[in-house]
Amino acid sequence: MVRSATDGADIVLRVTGLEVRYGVIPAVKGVSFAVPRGRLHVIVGANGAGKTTTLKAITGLIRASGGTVELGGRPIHRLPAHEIARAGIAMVPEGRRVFAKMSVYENLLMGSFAQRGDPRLKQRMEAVLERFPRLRERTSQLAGTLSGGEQQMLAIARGLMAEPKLLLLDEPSLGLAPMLLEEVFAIIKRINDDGVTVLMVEQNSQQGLQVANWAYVMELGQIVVQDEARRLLDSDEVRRAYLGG
Amino acid sequence: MISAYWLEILTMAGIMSIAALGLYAIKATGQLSAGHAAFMGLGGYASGVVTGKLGLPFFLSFVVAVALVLVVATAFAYMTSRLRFFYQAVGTLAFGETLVLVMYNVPYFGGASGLQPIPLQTTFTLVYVILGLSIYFFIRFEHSRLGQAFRCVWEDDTVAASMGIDVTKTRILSFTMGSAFAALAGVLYAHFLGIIEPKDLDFLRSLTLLIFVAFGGLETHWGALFGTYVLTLLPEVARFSVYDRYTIYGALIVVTMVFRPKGLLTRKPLGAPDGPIARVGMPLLRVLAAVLPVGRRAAKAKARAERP
Amino acid sequence: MLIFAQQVINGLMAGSAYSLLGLGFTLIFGILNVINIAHPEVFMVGAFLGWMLVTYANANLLVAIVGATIGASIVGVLIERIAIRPVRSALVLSPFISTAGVSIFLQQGAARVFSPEPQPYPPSMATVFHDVGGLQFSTMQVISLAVGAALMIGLKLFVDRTWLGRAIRATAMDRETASLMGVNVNTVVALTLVIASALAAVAGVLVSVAYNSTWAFMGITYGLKGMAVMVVGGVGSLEGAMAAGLILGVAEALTVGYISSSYRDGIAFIILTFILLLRPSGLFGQRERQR
Repeated sequence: MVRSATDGADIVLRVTGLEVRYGVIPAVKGVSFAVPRGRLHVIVGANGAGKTTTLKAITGLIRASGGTVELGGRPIHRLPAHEIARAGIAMVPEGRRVFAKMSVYENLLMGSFAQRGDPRLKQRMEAVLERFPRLRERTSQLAGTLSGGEQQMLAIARGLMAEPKLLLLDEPSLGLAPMLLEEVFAIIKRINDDGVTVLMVEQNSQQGLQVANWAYVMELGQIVVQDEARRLLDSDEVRRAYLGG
Repeated sequence: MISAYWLEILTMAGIMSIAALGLYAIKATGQLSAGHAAFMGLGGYASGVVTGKLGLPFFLSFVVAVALVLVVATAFAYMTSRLRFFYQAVGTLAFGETLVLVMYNVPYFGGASGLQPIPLQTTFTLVYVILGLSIYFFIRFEHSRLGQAFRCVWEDDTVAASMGIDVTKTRILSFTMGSAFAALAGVLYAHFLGIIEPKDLDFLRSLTLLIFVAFGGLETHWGALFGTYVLTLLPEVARFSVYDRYTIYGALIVVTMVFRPKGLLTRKPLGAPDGPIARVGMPLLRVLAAVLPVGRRAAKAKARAERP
Repeated sequence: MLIFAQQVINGLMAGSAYSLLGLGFTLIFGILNVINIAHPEVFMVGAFLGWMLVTYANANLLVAIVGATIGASIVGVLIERIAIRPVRSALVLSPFISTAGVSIFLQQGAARVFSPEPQPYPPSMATVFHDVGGLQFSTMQVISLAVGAALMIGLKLFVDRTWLGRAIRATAMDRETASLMGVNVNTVVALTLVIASALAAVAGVLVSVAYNSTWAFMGITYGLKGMAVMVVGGVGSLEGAMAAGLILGVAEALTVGYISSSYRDGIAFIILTFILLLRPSGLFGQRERQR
């Protein structure tokens, strides 16, 4: 029997035959996958495999040269980035990219920019700060003065402020101390447990596979293996062939 | 035989070309001077004092003007060496406008009515001899070690530094070198018109020179020459009223920058995907190169310079 | 003492125009990382629109200002679309030159349409001078200062406290990430151009009425001073541009009062030179702002 990530589930994100080129050089060559509601999927693979490019194409930062992306059944691959954000995809970009000269509070507000005027924003802010008590202590501090770990928390919190249908995380482990690493992945896991659908790109495959339900291994712009994350983690063969360990 | 009118215009274009070459030398290390005309004017004022005020011989005014500008430009470049791009542009702008202020307010320099009389000693031949020598210098320079160092600094100063190039020194040298050409042009300018005025030093004049270089092409000295000639001769050829003429001139610059952000002449080989202007501009250049007194050897060198 | 007070008042009034222009430069540079050489021409276009409304349509000052603001905003947005956006990603110099081309185009075009001579306002706009305890000032000067102050405070509140203001700041800091938050970057850029152009247009109308002269080349001096104000205040800093404009206005007035009027137009560059040598990040700028 062929296992699949999406057996009879309600699909949030469906990517079909996605292709991206930089000039004439193909970076993503026909990638297809789907993320069902409430799941945590991870894309792992070496540097330059096309993982980040895939996420950028989904969020509209790069225009795909082929294929389709659907969010809850609605095609979004032709929309500009800001409309994709408004459609319900929140991205936590690589390198955190918090707004350095804004306060933590303002950064969080920017996260819900698409829903400005929504009367429930106050509760949402309260809920997010509940989840990140360290940010609550620093709401008026400039984001640029936070530590790397705190900035990563802020970037994730900012993503949650959009109450997204899908949360994308691009290399959340990048540049974090090992101790913080555990904490960040625990938070991601908890967010997913609370019902947020997550798609994550991670070079640190060990950590990524431990928290995810399902994993894709990308190599040279293609998905070469996919399976339940736990099984990939246990398969010495896959680890040796693709994950450098 | 060309008329006296055209002789005058061609002489002026030659003078401006020398200044534009100097600006190219500054830009060759990626620097941006919005006060180039001030260095040109400084040379003009210095030479005007030597010949007009002191009655000394003409050749001496070259020596004095270039020496003075070398000193001032080196000092200025040294003091502002930590300013980059936009800040450097503003710094050079401030220098130029401050110099304008000085010239306006020091009676010895003639104040608002300018320094005059200055003996009319610049001739067509002299300008083109100096221009010819300058072009020869740039052709040689292009392939010299220093010329390559300049380009390296422009392309990536971190890489340049890692290759053992002293980036700050190279920048200062390029600024000083460019300003020296401006000084040469300034001497010729003052002795061509018989007068030099504060407004010859101001930002608008500097901007005009920048436009010449950017329009013609930022990547080679041929671009600076080409831009200067096209933009000085074009308004003379166009048969419009003066305001129409410059309205069109402004529009032309915008259109050129939009279609060819690096100017008309680039290092890219012909036929590269460079937009419609290239296809018009390059033949135009060929015609111009044939007409210019630069001659065949220059055209050959140009072909060499344009190779990627 | 009375002379001093009088000069400070004159200076503050002239300085608010410099502040408004400097704010425009700094807003545009902040969001596009480009120096818009044509920005002072938006100021000139605004002045002419106001002048036309007063001269040909008998409009009052308020209508003139509103009309000028609308017209100049359109011009400002067009400049960005035509001359900045297509060349923004090229070399540092390219947008500098293309906007300089726009500047020449608009100057010469205005000289062609309205004559190269300064145009006076009809007598109905003549300025009335008041005398309070020995201090002289005109109605227009008071209006200029009041309008200038109101616009600056309004702008500061808008940028600091509103959703769109935050979007402008976010876009200035990181375009890409702002778009991931659902900010339409193109709209924010257009909005910024509208704000900068509106400020310039208001300054243009006020200056041209106060000095009773609307001129095709009026943008040149004011533009250079506006640029100086942006750098002196610290690029990207709104408070800096506001303060630097007022300081420049007062410094110029004091120079006229105590030294000589022929030094007036140079003060900006002397201040600028000192700032660049001693504190290139400007009065209110952060250190890392050196690009």
